[in-house]
Parts: sequence; C-alpha cells; structure tokens
Amino acid sequence: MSEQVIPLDSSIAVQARVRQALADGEALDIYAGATKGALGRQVVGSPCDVSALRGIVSYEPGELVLVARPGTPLDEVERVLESENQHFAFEPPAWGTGATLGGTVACNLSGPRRFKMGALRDHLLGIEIVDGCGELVRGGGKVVKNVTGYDLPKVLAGSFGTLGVLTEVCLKVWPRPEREQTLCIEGFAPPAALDKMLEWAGRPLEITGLAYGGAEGRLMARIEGPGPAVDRQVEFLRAECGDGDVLDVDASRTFWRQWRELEWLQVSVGQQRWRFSGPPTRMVRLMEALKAEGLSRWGIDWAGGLLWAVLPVDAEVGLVHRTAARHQALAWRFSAQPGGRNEEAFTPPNAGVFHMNQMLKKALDPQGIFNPGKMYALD
Amino acid sequence: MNVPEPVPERLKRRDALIDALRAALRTDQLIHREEDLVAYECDAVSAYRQRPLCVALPESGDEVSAVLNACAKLDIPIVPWGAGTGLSGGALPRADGIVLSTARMNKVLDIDLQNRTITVQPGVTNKSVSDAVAAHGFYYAPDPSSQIACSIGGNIAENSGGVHCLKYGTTTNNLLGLEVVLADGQIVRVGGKGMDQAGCDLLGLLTGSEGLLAITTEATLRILPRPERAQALMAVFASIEAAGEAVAQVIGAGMVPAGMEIMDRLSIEAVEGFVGAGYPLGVEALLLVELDGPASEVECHMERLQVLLKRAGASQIRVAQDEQQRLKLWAGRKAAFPAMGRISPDYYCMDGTIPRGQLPFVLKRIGEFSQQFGLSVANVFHAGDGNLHPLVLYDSNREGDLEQAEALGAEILKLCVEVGGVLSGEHGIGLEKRDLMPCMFNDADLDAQERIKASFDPQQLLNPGKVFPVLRRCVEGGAMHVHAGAETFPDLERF
Repeated sequence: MSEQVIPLDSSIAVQARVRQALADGEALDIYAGATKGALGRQVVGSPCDVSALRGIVSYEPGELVLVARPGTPLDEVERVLESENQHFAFEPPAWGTGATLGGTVACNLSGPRRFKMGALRDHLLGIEIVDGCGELVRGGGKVVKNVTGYDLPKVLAGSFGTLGVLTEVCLKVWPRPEREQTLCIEGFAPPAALDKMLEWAGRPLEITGLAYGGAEGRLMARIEGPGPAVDRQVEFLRAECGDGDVLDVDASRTFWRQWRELEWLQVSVGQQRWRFSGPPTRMVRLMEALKAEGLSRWGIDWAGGLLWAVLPVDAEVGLVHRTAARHQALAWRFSAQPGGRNEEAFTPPNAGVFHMNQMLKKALDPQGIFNPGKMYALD
Repeated sequence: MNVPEPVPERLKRRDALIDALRAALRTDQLIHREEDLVAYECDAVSAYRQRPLCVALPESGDEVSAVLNACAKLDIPIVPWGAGTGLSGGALPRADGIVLSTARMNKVLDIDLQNRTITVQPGVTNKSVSDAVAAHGFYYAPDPSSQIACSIGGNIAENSGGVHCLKYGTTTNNLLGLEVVLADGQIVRVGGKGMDQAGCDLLGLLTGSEGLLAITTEATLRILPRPERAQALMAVFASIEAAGEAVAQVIGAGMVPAGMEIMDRLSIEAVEGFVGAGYPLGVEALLLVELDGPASEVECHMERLQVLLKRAGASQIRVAQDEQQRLKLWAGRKAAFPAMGRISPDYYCMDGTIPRGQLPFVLKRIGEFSQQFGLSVANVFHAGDGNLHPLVLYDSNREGDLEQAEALGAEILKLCVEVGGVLSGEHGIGLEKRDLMPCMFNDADLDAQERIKASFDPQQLLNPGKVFPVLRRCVEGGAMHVHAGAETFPDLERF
C-alpha cells in the first residue's frame, strides 16, 4: 500500500471511516498491530488501521474489570494488570511484537489455561463497535454478571473482524495466582501422555496448564495457587509418577510463555503451522492420521484439546480439513506470508452453522464491508 | 405492564393450527382443552397470566421442527417452555400463540467422562445433570436456586447462573455444543465436544437469547471434577457497607471464593424466624463465604480469610465445622425469598448488577427510595459479583401499594444502570424488564440486536414480545412479584 494510511484514533473517526466506506461501496481490511496476518484468508479491502485508538479507559482492580480501546498493546495492558497483581486468566498469546487487545479479541486467542479458566470469549464482558450500518453500538456491560440483551461481546470475540470494528472492549481480569510450579516428566509415548492428561484434568486439582510434546515425550503440568497448596499438589503428582523435575516460578513462567508464543513450533521454508481444536480423546489419533500428510513437529495443549502441528506447505489443504473433521476437530491453517492468500484457512462449518453465520453477518454487516472473506469464501 | 395483545386473525386459526399439529404429533403430545391449559398460564412471574392456544409436547428435534413448520405456515407465535420457573416472564404464553414444552425431551444421551462432557435433552433438570455424573466424582457447575425443577433448555435460554458463578461462570461458560431448531424448522448442530466452534460464536449468541432465536433440542455441557473440599463461614458486620468492604478486600487479596453472599438486618431476621439457620439476631449485616478447591488450598485460604475478615471489622466469625453445618449456613440464605412471605403479604424482587464499589451509595439511595415510597426493602445479594436482589415489601390488597412497589423497583433498576451496572444479572429481561431496556441501550444498540432477531426469525414467531421494548423509552416496572407467598413454585429455593 503506497498511499499513507492515517491510523484512526477515536470511535468517531472509525464511524466516519465506516460511513465513508458504506457510501463508496468499498470493503475494509481492519488491523491494529498487524501481528495476526497469518490467520484467516486474504482480505482485499482498503486499510482500516485502528492502532491509534489506544489506551486504558478504566481499570478497577476491585471490580475485576478493565476497559480499554482496541489498539492498546497487549503487553502494556498486561504490565498494568501485573502491577495490581492481576492478569487475564485466559493467558492470550501475542504472536509478535505490537499485538493489541483488539486483535486478540477479534481472534478469541486463549492460551494454555483455556481448559481450566475458559477462553477469551468467557472473559469479554462488553464491547463497543461501529457496525455495518455505520452506527456506534454497545453490547454487554461493564460488570461481571449480566444477562441484559443478546451477548454481543461473545459474538464479536473470534469473528475475525467480520462483524464490526471494535472501538472499546471490557474484559474481566482475575487475581494472579500467588505461586506456580510446573512438573515436567519425560519419556511418555503419545497415547500414555494423553491418558495422563485426561486423567489429571478430571481430578480436583488446580492444574492450569497441561501440555505434551518434544522428542523427549515431555509432559508438562502447571499447578497454581497459594504456596503451600502448590507444593502439596506437585508432590502428590510427582509421587504418583515416581519422578519428574519441578520448574519453580520463574522457569515455569518462562516455559509457558515460550509455549504459548509457539517459540518451539518454528517452521522452515516449505512448512506451515496448523492448529487443531477438538475433543481431547481424539487428538493423538488425529496426530497419527496427519503423519500421512507429512506431519513433522507437533505438540498438544489444553489438556488434550488442542494440537499444534507443522505440515508441508504443499499438503493438500482440503484433505487436512477432512482429516480434522473425521476426528470432530477444527483446523486453522496459518498463511505462509502474513496477509497472503490462504484459501481454506479454517475448516468449513456444517451447512446449518454456515447459514447462521450468514444470518449474523447480514444483521451486523448487511453490505459486507468488514474483512470480507476473512473466515470463509463469501462470508 | 401489559401482557402482549393477541392478533385477532390468529385466534381464528386455532382449529387449523390444532389440525396441523395433530398431523405432526400424537394425540397425547397436544394439550388444548381449556381446563388443561391452566397449568401453562404463567411462569414464575404469576402477576402476568395468559392462556395459550395450545401446548405442544414434541419429543425430538424432528418433531420440534415439524411444530415450527406448522406454526410458520399459519403465522402462529411459539413460546418455548422449559419448566416454567423463570423469573422475568420470559415464558409467559401468548393468547394467539402456542407453548412448546420441552418436558418430554428429558433424557441424558451421553456421558463422556474422558472428555468431561454430558449430552442431554433440553427438558432434563439442572440438578439431574449433576446427579447423573455424581457417582463418578463430577458435577455441572451452574446451580440456579431452582435447580431441582428448572430445565437445561431454560438455563440456556436465560444463561442461568447460581451462587457459584463468580468462580465457575454461568451457563454460557459451561456449554460446548447444541442442537437447535431455527424458526424455519432447520435443525442445526453447533459446537461439539471440543473447546472451539466453527465460525462465529453461535453458542454465545444463543445462550441467554431468551427463546427468541432458536429452540434447543440437545445440549453438550462441560462437567467438572467435584472439589475435594468446600468450607463455609459466616461473619457478622456492624454495617452492610463494612461487609461490602470486606468482600472487596477478599478479592483484593487474590482469593476467588466459590460464593460470597450478604444479607441485611431485615433479611436476617425474616430468615431466622423462618428456618432457624442459627444466624445471630440484632446484627446489621451477615457475610457468608464459601471456599472450595483442593483441601490444601482451602485450608490455606480459610486461615487467611479469617484474619482478613477480623481486620475488616467482623465482630463474630463462625466456620462451619462439617458438611451439616455448612448446609445449615446456606439454608438460611437460600430461604431468604420465601421468608419474606412471612413478614410481608407481597414482595417484589429486583435483579440488577452494580460495580461492587458502588454498593454503599446504592444502598443509601435504596434506603431513601424506601422512605420516599413508604415501603420496606430487604437486601440480599451475591456480593462477589455485585448482583443485587432488593426485595420490595408491599401489600397488594392495599390501594396503590403495587404501583408504588413497581415505581420503587424501577427506580432501583435505573439507579443500577446509572452507576454503571445492568438491568439484570441473572433473571433475564423477558416481558417484565422489556420496557426498561432503553435505560441501558440506545436506539442504535437495540437496532443491532433487533436486526439479529429479524435475520434469524423474519416472521417474528419465536417468543415475540419479550426482551425488546415496544416503545423505546424508559418506563416503569421490571421485577418479580409474589403475592401472599403464592409463588408459582413455593417449594423452590430462591436466591
């Protein structure tokens, strides 16, 4: 894009931009930190840069509520939360420098704590958007318990910018656990590791991270809570396995940061990242099935519910999606170049769900100007 | 508040409707005799009553689809009905519509302990979901007070919570998959047993949509391992503000209790006279706190909690020593609503949520409203999440009392919105708070929501007349009325 794009810095500016797009019949390609370009299909549209729409609007630690503009950098928010001994319990990955709150919400990105504490969508309390009619619309609220009207925040979370331009988000924040430790046990074959994850996730323990991967067959279990309780649970699990190293606070934090940022899932030329989400019991079988498509590096997160994988760029995309679907899983293919062509980026939904998505799109973006085609062809 | 007006032409199509439904269902799946329809006149908001044209009792997604098709052809509205325990008139029938009861779809379809899910039909009660997995050490977290009677389908429609929802979330946070029937009869499966959905978050949209977008015919729910330990305590404070401040300190100290409840003097005394929970009399405020989790964590937090509460001014703390004592502490709180029936002929229950920091101000204003309107207000609330249940006490046999109670209630809800809160924390909007929606949402906000409704249900046949205001200005009304203890479900706990 040779033309200079002026970042929009207020909800009014966003509204004006959307109204102009509606008048001109042009589509908008919405972004802020531009760190999520590898997700979804290519969007052809005029740039709509909301990176200047930033800043924390209000933060009330006692209410467990934070309100911020979407262009606010994620790390900036996280630092502020940390100063009050709080955090986002859904542990979002950034996947690049300059990641913003808005992009994180738009992609519903949730880290290793997801299976225990819920996804981003479970923590999104309120939103303000400019909708496809050019109106500033509020949904949800700014308190932790609310059933007033449709839950628009959830609808916007994970909509990849296809339903509206976020101008403000309100998120639930959570006390940081006082202490964390990670038990690290090597030598598990994949089926045994999955069995262990399923078993432990079904125990009344404060296990908040349960992942598996690497050539060593390493199972990682994070326990969080007050110090003495963490010690006792880690000891209990270690005794059960007969062995295992313990990563203390700093090492544990470093491990889970690197894990959620996918630092271990590097790709070489000719390779592509994939993400598969589905019923935990199916994940090892899915992994085995993907070997036929050229699976190289992989790892399992979310106590079995999420499989990260590296496949060759020339893997037959439709076939991979069908393999995923056979195991009741949904796949995301990361594009080779950020913002590049990425047909069939997401496993297509069934016809009924596709129809319902279209009804939603028609309601909030009747002229189809927001990130057209980002999720599926013709959305 | 008026019940929705029937469209006269629809009433004339009653016979055609019954014929069409007879073609879709067996005879025993259709209720249409006047005397049998009485049971479906109202949900738990008994102040509003209306008899439907008939009641359909489908037993599968296909039958629900057939019923919706028949209704679509004849332009007849459908009011979905779970157990009829809702507190906002959301299941109030229409005189020109049918009630679609999910009561016959009451089977548990699948228990998958490894994936920690259970799949049920919508008519299964909330409690029986937990019961179905209890022997395996699991439970279903949302626990609305009416859990022995309320249905999962209704829980999904209302996004029901319970006393544990600060820590464990409401229905929407514990739902993985749905089978629904859309207004055009199409049967759709959304989500599944995994933690993500294809496309946008339709589960999020449908949960809490109060029966306006689709009818649930199957649900896959997340189940959790039952906590190793649950322990409760009761603390006495000199004022309700002091109790509220203690709650802020508990959260500030990094603890997230499974439940935190505050009761004021009027409530404590009513409850003690009713169930004898062992609460001290003559005190201004009681705080109940329950911690759960691994035994090691509960022990650790319980110690800290007591130190913190003492420092926050608790004059007395009593820790439940065993399960029996724990349940007794809760029994009082859970009896708060019925106990009001003993001290007042009628009460009117509000359900706003406020930022917790506004509690002292809001309570002061409620006290002023109480004086101004000449009616007592008892306060019980879910203190952890700021969800208030002020109970306005009145006597419907006294001229003008009801109107005063409604006006007072509306003032309280408007106040909740003014201080940054919302109209409903957990009871839903339904019919009764519908006309207060413009206090919280402007025209553009409501337009966006109504466009979703129109897109999913262009004929406006699914539960029309609920949630969205007929006239878009902030008007009076909006809470639950109970006369002479005559709740529709007097035996249900209400908290």
